[in-house]
Amino acid sequence: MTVLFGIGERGYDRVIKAQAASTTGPITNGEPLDSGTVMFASNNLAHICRESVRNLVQSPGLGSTKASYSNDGALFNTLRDTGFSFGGTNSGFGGVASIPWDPRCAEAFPCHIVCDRKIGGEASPSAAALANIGRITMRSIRYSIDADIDATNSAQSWLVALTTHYNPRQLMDGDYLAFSSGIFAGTGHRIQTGTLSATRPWHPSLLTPWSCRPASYADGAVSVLVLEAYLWFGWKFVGTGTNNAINGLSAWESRIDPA
Amino acid sequence: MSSDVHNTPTTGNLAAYVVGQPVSAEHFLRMCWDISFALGFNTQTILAQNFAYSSTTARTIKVSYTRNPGVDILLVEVEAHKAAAIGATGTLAVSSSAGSIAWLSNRDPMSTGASGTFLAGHEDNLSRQRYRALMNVTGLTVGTKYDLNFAFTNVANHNGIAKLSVLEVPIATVDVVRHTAEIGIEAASFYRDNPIATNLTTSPRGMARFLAQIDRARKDNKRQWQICTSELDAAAFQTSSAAYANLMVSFGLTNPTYRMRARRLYKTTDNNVYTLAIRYRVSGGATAAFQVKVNGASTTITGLAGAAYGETTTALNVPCNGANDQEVTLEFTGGITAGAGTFYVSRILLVENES
Repeated sequence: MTVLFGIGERGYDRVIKAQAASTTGPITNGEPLDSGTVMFASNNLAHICRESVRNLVQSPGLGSTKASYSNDGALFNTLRDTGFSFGGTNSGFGGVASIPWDPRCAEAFPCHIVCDRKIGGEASPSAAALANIGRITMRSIRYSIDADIDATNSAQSWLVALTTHYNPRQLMDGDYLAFSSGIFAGTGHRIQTGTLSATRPWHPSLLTPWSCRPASYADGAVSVLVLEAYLWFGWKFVGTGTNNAINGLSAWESRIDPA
Repeated sequence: MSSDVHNTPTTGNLAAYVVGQPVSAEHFLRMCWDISFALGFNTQTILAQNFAYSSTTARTIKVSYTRNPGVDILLVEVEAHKAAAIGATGTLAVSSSAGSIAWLSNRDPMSTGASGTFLAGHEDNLSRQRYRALMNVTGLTVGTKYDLNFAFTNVANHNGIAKLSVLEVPIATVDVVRHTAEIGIEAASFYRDNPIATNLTTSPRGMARFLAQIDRARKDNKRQWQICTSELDAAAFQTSSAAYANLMVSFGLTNPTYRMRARRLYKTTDNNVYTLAIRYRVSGGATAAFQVKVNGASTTITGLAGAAYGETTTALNVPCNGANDQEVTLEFTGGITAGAGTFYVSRILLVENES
């Protein structure tokens, strides 16, 4: 299934409850459809589509910093190597290449992306989107990073990216669908939220087939084309303090238009 | 049904519907597409993430799963810890609390029957090997909550799972007639037996069927928010405090605040209703309580006891009146309320309960 349109227009911002769908009611076989009924149905459909946004990431914390790094299985509380050298200077914390995106400083979560957001904004008339089908892109993704920041850090930043691959090298080279970053303000317990949004139009070359029906299905195995993606969380704590931590990560699709 | 519609727009799709006039085929086809979209792409849910534990002994992770309509396959992605030595092998067997599930054989490498063999790299500290596998869930009843049991076993030199993600694969076609678990209505179709027009005797047809499917999109696709660990005490969320304390602080330094977005179907004052379910155990014969705060408002489950892991549930209202696109905050704490012991929580699940 390809997703070419923005979602339909809503006449009202909620589902309008109607009679239980059945063979009875105002809809009679062989008779023309009542336009009002169809307007209700169209509104409800558009509203449900709009509210069909999903939770993408809900992850417990990844541990606190530790002087020596180990990835030998004892993951929690051993994850962050505060002595790690990022190379070069410590400036440009917001740049996608400012961290190596390896397990010391990043986590990647698989998902697939639904493209039904009009580039001009969620509120723009659907008719405009229909007239310009190519200008559809991914939904906005909101994220929340719950962290602790050591007071002795010389710098601390977060980075969030959406890619179509699990390859840190490509990500560092700037191959991503969307990217967001910033510097944690202050020290101690911090909760950082932000929005990921792409302005590139959806394109069929981004699609990957996923099997959605087993071979035992009546029509045989079936695949669906999805925009397969990874949502990356990265962070950079510069210092030797041990009071840095990533306590929890959240991400979810949103209908908020990017600022 | 009244032909009045609130806030009738002057532009866009709805303007095409003129009271008293026939509905254009173009716009009705658009609705057919919309229902496919709402039902098909509404379903994909991240079920569980980031179980982290290290063990050379067998451990089972229980992931709660309520199958959404139309979903036949789950995509499972496993991330392995760095191996203890070159030549690391482990297996991940799957079973369900009822019904049947199985690995599918059409995606490597976890394709060798029920065991699901997966390897782990030993190259350096900076990489993790990821494996994907597909799971057939057609043997599970839609709408019923199950446990999916992922049983890891080290075969040689394996250090276990760093992260396990479970996703529903969205559906390609929606066809209520061909497939009993199917949903929706086919969009503009070259099938001559398009279900919209097919004259069935056992279920609503035509526009009535269409409305029925809109209703299914509203209530049958369950949002699921879940975090869990293996049922290994060292890995579980835990507290021995008498007060509601930092249940999850072992995963960082501060009890975290999570966020999610509530689905708002009605007025902003109508809650999105969820079922909250936790898997837990309490050591030392003590009694514990669990508390969730949604936007700071508490819901508490008290009287929790039992040395073996079990599950308890309660209703949870998630408000839809957030100023920022219905975003809500979630905080989880727990405490020992009688006796002395440790309260372990291996899974926290919120599953939508729209009816």
